[in-house]
Amino acid sequence: MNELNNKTLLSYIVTYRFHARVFLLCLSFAASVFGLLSPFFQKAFIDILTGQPSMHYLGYTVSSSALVNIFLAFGATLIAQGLSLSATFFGAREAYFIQKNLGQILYRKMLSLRRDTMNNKPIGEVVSIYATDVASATTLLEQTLPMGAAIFFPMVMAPLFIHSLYDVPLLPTLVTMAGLMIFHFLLSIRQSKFFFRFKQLAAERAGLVNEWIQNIRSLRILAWTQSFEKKIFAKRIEETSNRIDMVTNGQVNSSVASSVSFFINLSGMISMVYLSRHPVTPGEILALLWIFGVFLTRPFRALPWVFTFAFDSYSSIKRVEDFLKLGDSSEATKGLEIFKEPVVLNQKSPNIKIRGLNLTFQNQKILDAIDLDIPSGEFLAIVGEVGSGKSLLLFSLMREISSQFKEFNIGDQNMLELETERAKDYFTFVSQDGFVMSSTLRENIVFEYEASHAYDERVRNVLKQASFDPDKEALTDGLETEIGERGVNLSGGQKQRVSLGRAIFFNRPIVLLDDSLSAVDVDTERELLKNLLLGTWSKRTRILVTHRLSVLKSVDRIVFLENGRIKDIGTLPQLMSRSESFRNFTATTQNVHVDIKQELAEYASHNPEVIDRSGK
Amino acid sequence: MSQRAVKFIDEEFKFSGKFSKDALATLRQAYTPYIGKCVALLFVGLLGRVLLMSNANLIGLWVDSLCVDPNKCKALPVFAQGLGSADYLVLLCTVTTLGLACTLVFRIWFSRMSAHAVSHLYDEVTLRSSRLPMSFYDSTPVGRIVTRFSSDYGNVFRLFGGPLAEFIGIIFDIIAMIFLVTFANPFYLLICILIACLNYFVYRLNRNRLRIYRRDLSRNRSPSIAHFAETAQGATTIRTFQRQSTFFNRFSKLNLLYLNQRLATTFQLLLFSFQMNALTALLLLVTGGAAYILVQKSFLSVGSVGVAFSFIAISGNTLQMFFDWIAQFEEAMIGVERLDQYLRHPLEEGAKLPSWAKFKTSHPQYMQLTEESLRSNLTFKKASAGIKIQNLNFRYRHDLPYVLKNINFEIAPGERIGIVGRTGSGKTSLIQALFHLYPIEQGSIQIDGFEAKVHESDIDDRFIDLESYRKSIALISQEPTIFKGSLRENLSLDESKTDANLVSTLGRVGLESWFNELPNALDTEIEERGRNLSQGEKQLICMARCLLQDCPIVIMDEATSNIDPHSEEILVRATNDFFAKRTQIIVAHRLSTIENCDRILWLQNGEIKMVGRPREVLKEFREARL
Repeated sequence: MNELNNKTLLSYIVTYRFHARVFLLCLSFAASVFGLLSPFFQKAFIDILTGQPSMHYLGYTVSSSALVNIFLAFGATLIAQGLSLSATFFGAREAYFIQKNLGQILYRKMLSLRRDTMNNKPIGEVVSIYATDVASATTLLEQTLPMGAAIFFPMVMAPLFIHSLYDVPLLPTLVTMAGLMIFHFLLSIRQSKFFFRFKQLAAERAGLVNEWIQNIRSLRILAWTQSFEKKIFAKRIEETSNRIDMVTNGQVNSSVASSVSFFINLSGMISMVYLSRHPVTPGEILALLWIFGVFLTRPFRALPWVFTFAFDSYSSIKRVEDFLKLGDSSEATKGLEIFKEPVVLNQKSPNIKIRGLNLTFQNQKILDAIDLDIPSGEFLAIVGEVGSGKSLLLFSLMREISSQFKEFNIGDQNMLELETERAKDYFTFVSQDGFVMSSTLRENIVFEYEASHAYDERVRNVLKQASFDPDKEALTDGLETEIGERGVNLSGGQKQRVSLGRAIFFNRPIVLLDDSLSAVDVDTERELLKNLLLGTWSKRTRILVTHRLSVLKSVDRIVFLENGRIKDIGTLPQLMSRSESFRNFTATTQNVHVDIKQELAEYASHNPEVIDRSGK
Repeated sequence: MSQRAVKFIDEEFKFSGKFSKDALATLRQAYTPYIGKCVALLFVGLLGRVLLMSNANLIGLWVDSLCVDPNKCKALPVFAQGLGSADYLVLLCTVTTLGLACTLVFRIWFSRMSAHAVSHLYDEVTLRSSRLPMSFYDSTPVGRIVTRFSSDYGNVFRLFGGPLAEFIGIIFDIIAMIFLVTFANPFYLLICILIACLNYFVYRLNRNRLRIYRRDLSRNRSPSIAHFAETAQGATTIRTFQRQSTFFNRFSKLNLLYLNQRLATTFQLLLFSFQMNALTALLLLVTGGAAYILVQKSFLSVGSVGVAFSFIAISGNTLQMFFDWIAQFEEAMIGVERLDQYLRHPLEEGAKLPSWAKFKTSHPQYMQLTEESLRSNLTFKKASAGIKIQNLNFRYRHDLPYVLKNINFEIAPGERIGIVGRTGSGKTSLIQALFHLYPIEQGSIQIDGFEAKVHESDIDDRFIDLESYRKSIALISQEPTIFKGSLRENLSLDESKTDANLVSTLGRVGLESWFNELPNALDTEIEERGRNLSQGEKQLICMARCLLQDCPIVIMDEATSNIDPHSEEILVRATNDFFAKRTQIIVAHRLSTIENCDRILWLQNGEIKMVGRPREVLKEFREARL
């Protein structure tokens, strides 16, 4: 699968399995030859019927039996159709190979793209590249190539054939045909512009519809239903008016294409009557009709489509190519070896040492000269405003974003010497929303499709620690219950707990939690804190990003981030006593944070100055 | 909200083989405004194809006029006698040009008309889909609903806006050919009937198999796309646990499943094509053989044999396209049926379609006058309102248990009520009930003595329109709802507020300096879910929106205890400052939020456990919680 290296996608599509491409062209060529032979024998048949047999063509002696000729015409038609359909099938088969490879390349690329290399592309757009552009990129093979050949050969051969057999001058026919080609070409370019705009507008409208359905409850609560409908209708009208222009253009294109063979026939006949050196025969008039009026009907009908497909295919190829260029472009083409299996590490709670961690992302300084020492087994909380860099600090540790370190050690291991993939062995991680895939509960915990039942005991145990009892959560089939998009739709809190279960299952030295308790209710939070964070994981090195201040009294130390810098670091009472901005952060108003205030009162006995300062 | 974590309805609409009457009736409604134009265009279209096809007949006559063997020549029809080659060329030129002109007129205007008709269908479905019962949205995945409006509508439009004209053009071709070939010699009508029967036979032979293949194809499509999307969302997690291989293998499997099916379907389609083409070739042989005998007996003219040959050749092409389009037509009709399903789905109790809705679907609809009077309705233009809940029993669906049981409760105008209770105690359900988001089967909720009118039988004066009823309550949620669009649209979508009003309200909630720095002021584009705003900005915008709504009752929903300090501050300002005079209902997770309320309502298992002064209720509640 390394073919794509150093090659444009277009040349990959055209040259992959090159012998098959040549074979495809040969099939199309043969189909055209047999397609022309049918009217040739039909003409011979008619000529015999009218008693005007002229039976020598290019050294070939035509049978003088009418029935033999009609039988040959039949055979030629049959063979021509068979050949042309085979060409279509083999085109589809070639497209199959490319689609298979391209799908895998895209998937691998997508799996390797990180938050920074993704370049803010919405997931929907990436999915549509797979869902529509892969198929459309290969229409080049599926449609354009066989169809193009099925058009090109007849169009070139028909006038030559007629010229050499029936002495019809070439020029008028060729000029007419060239003019029509240019006409269709231009209309097709125009069409592809409309089409491009259409896709854009349709996507925008779908976005609105999505928002509308997602927020249907809020819209009712706001009594905004009608106003939002107006917004959708406005977009729909914009889309329809573009669509109508597109339809008009397309209809001109295809109506001309479907009638044009008659005009070519006409120009052929005019030149035959006026420019030919001998009087016309009935057989010739009919042969002309069959060749121009009938044989060329299909190629001309297909002509606008071939152009349209080609343009569309080309723009899809570009889109796929742009996507593959994101981030480290070599990743996607590397092949399976980039997928590393996990390695179980023996360390259970290593210490972490970070010096000079910097992260610049989209021209913004996200993390600024972070120095941090986390002793073995510490429970560390990271707090700060939205956008202060909390999550990206976790991502930096996991090497999920390209940040710079002066020094980064876990235990005795210098992390900067380790491959990024091997760095992952140290961490278990739960993202903010929790990730649940569409499959059984068991597979979600073991995190492997077709996971073995042998894990069941461990899975149950792990779920218990994550406060997730399948029976209490209305999952009727226990571990077999399908969850995710296609099964039981879990709430945010349920997703977080399933993800926590997975994190426990992967028994790894360092636990990273990105606000992973945000959606569970107060009682469950208490349970998780007691049984998991201060229970099962009590010996682990834990880092928790949180907005939930109630957790802070349970952690060992707090890192307070402000604009990407560590503003302060220490225990809760330490921060409370010495950091005014932390106090402002936690208690911006008088009425709130009774919990924190209670804490303060508690700590006041140890540290009298707290009261003084906060009393201001 | 685990009560509503129900499994989604699995069954997606499938095509059964026959189009329902409803779908056809719907199509008819969509085309009704254009019916006269439609007939005229169909006539022009048919004329165009007859003219173009008559090329072959004229050429046949021309061939016969060149006939030299008196034994085999048939007499020319009267109108064709004495015409020379030049005359034929002029005639051919005329019919071809006229034919093309008619074809163009038909196809362009018919397609444009269809595009409009289908768009109306879209609008009408949208109007109904906005007003379906909430339980429908609970049990239908968002993706499936969106698909109706994206790919199903896309399929319908793709056919009706263009190919339908082509499809009809093909039918015209077939009619014209039968007509003209019979005109050349009635003998060929026999052959036409033969070919029609054979083609239909082959089509029937293949139809069900092809349908199954197509259906399997579309069924195998979505898993790989869904898996792709899912992986994109969880890429970080997958990398962390180094599970790329298992995901990649799953993807390859799903991708191949689809591609194999696709190739197999293509093969079946081509096989069908080949059978059709073979029939055409066979027909050529039969016609030739018959002609060989009949021309000898001067029963057929050579010209007419030529005409027949060309029609046979063209017909092969045309019939093939005809049957291809039938498949496309079926797909589009599935789209129509699916849209039709939403079009005819019962609406939420009390919801009515706007007066301008055109389709007749037996849904309640506003009169234009009522609509206008509702717009200027002032029932709830007051500082505060009282709420009276009587014997309320509430559940989300008939087949689910009650989540609120026998609730009796009154809130005085201007009162501030806090609601506490554990997860699942019914706090959220009470909000849903207050907004009448689900049908209230038992009991009633009155606001200043008014009830929502949800049944036709509710004719008493105390019943008011559901939408007006809802306008009496505003909701401030901890998780702000922000729409993609301009800042103006996010504040007030109905254009009833002046810009000055919007700006001053932004100032009131403390967004003045933020607003002054915006380059495009109220036209500033806000991204999906407010991605370009901070959490605090989002909440303040919602607060401003709520102020602009100017409702007598305000509900503040603190959905989780996970509330960051800023949000909390905003909520506190809302209760003490912005909505101080309004009736307030505060649903709290953090008890500190509601200590200053007038009264506290404690819900447990859907029942009222206790109502009273904050000090007493909260004390009991705290103890119970520990």
